[in-house]
Amino acid sequence: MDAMSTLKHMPGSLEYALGESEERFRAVVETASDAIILADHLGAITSWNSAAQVLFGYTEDDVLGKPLTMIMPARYRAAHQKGMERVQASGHSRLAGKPIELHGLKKDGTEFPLELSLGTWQSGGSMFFSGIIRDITERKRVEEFHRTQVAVSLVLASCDSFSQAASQLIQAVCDITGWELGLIWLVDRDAAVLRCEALWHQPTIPGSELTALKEHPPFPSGIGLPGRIWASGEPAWVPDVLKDLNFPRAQAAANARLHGAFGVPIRSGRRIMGVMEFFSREIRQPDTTLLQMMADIGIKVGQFIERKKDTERLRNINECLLSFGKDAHENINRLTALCGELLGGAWAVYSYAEGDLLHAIGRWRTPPDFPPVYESNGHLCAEVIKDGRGDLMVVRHLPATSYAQTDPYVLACRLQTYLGQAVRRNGRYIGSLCVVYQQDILPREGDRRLMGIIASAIGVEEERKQAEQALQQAYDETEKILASVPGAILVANEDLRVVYANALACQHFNEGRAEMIGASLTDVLPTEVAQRSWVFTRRTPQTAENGYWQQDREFESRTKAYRYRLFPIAIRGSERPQIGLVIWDITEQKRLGDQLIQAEKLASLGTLVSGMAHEVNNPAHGIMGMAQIILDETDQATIREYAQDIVGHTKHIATVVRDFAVYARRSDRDGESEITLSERMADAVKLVRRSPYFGDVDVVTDFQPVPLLQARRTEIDQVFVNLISNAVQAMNGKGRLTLTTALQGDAVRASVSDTGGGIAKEAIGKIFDPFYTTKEPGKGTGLGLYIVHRIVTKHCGQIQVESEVGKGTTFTVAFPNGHISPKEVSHDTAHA
Amino acid sequence: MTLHMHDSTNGRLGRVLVVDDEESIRKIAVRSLTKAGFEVVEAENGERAIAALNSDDNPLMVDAILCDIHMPKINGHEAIAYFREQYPGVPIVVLTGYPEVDRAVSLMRAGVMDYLVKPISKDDLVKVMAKAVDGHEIFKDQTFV
Repeated sequence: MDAMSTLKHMPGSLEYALGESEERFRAVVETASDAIILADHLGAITSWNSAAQVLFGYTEDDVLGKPLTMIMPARYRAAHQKGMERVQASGHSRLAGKPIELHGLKKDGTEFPLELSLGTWQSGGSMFFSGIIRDITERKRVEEFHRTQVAVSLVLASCDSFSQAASQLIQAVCDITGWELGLIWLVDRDAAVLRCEALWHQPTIPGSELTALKEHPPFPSGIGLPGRIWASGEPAWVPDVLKDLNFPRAQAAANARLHGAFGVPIRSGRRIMGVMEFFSREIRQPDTTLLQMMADIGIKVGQFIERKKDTERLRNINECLLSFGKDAHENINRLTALCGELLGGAWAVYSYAEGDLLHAIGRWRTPPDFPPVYESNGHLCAEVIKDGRGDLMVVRHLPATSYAQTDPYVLACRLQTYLGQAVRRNGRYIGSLCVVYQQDILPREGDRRLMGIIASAIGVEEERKQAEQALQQAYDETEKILASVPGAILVANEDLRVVYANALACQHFNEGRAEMIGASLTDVLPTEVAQRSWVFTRRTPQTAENGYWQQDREFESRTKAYRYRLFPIAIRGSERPQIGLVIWDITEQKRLGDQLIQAEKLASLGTLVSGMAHEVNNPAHGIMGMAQIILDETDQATIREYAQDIVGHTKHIATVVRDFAVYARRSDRDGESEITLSERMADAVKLVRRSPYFGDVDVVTDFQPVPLLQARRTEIDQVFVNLISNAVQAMNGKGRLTLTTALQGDAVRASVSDTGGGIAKEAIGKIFDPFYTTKEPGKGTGLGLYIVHRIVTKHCGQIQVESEVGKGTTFTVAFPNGHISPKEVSHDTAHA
Repeated sequence: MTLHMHDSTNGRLGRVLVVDDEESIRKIAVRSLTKAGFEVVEAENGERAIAALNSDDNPLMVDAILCDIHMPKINGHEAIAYFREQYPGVPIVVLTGYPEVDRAVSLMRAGVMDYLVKPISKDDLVKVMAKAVDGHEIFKDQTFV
């Protein structure tokens, strides 16, 4: 070592100090993790640390004295040269002091991203450069991943459906990561294949070459890159598809000059929904970071698809609910089908529990031999109902459970999974909605929610069905009640169209008509009834309540007699009045009634008959006596006289017999005629006068003119004969019988008064009761006044009695003036 | 005097009072009974009959009474009751148009000897009245005994 060099290495000397500083600097530079490179003013490398060596692959010997441009891509070199010159001229660098991002060129020719902090300094009038370089490959990657994630999120957020998002997703990934082509495959569960959903490529690849990639037959599980990913559920990387053994699309790839490829599953939880695959025209070595990032995006896309599917399902449910018809069963069936379809099961059933039986009223794709009703014992559906839980019952690995023994379909249909949701009606679990699978299925949250929603919808339908059934039952019962009412019921609207007719009404009046509803009342009932009904509909309910309208009327139709009453019907929410008719068949009753009237008449004739006998026997005696005298008589004048007497007696007999015969006549053979009351009373007195008890009764009449009465003559006769007989009997042959007629207000009145013993107060209430009599046995039937009452009320009249014990009794019958017979009603309405 | 006496040939069968409001009936009775040998007195109603029997200046004695029921003024029932009370010995025969058993029974109970329902032949009437007059005779005999 020379002196100078010795000096240099001596501690404390300047040389030594410099040397020491340089050593420290060198140590720092050498141990720095960043590449530190120094260059002179010409851009030649003067210093190269070990980090630089690691980073660029060049040793110090490789680069010292060489230009900096050797470590930068060719595209930077011209700009670098210009920059160096500018710095030489200006004395300072624009780049100094702030880190810039550039790409470096490694010895092996690959580029990598770097961050450069540039420094300059002057020495000996020359400019020197220092660069601290950091490899930012990883940072760049993270940034790239981040950008990719954001881009994917933006795509997903802006798209309504996956089909809309699919190609945008591929583009976003390709744009950022530099891959050139991407495809998305979705699982078609029914066909158990993957089908291409979308393809996107950079314009650098001619599209014409790619059709074969996309239109390749769908991949079954395990086949090709997508099939492998689907089968494994894991991402996969193929550096060069042309050298891959399981790549059926090799020809298409070769045509498009594709090499590198990778793919990731699109998944939600454990469920693989599809595959995304990307291609590059370069051979690409596996990049686990990229794979991981893309696997993460696969999950994100999977969730997006699930979400969209949930939304879609809700839309489906909504559509299904909106399309509901009136038939609850049909609606339940549709809900069951919807549930099965949306959850992708093998089949779906909704069963309703009734006792020990389950009724499968909703079915979707059930086996053909699946019974409509089956015993609940040993069935999962029964368990679901019994458990009565709000949440989904999931049973997996069915063949291994005891249900394999109790439910034949588990094994017969190779069922693996059962999902059952209890259906609630009015707070009680009454049915079970289930979906079964031939695969092992773990339902996701969306599936659970979906089944819950559909089960609720079925519950609502069940409630509606129950309410409808209750309503129907109530209607049926009302209908049954109305049908079994022993009267015909007709309801008509204000146009007299029949809107309701019970069974009896149809039976009586629906002659040869297919449908009674809608028929005109005028065709169904006699005109006078229809017209009265028409008048009735024009009345307010208040006037309808007055006595006139509440009176029953009678009519005859086809050999039958009917009594009817009109009543107003108030229908809620309808201002149009309706009219009801309740109609009783009184043919038999009327026949019996007529028979009763007749029987009473004949019975009362019994009391009159002795009078009649007298009236006949007397002249008969005269005839016989006269005849016997004539036999012995020779004097012509005497014979003549006696013969004249015989003629008189015979005429008398004829009169008497005729009077009685007329009275005894059956009244139902007569029609109504116009009747003069005073005449009828006078005739009645004549008849009663013949009876032995008539005695010396004085007869006083006060007949004022009154309108004619429309009635059956024989019935009116019966009224007066009965009243006058009673009066005469009450007087025991002595007293005054007063007969009057008068028009009083609106009533035509006729009275029969006696001066007999009167009626005791306590008896007055009973005198019109049938079989009530105060006469001795055999003297009266007890039907006389009852029949009088019947006949009078039948002609819309009233009967009054005033009596004072010891003074006498007055019976007054009053008929409404212009008593509107049915005929008169029709006149009335005809003018209305 | 409205009381008509019909003397027969000699009235040997006795005297009968005929009470009936109908003239032609009375006419037949009078003629039949007179022809048969009765002396007949007729009255048109109960009032007249009673008056005849009770006449102060010339009270009428009869052997039997033939009486109708249905008559104005005093009717048959009342008249019969009166006769039974005042002249219990005089047999009463009812001739009526009413064929009623009740009435017949009640009148028989009241002492009427016979109840005839019209029409009745001349011969039957004569027989019954003859029997009635005989009854009166028996009664008379008894009184005299």
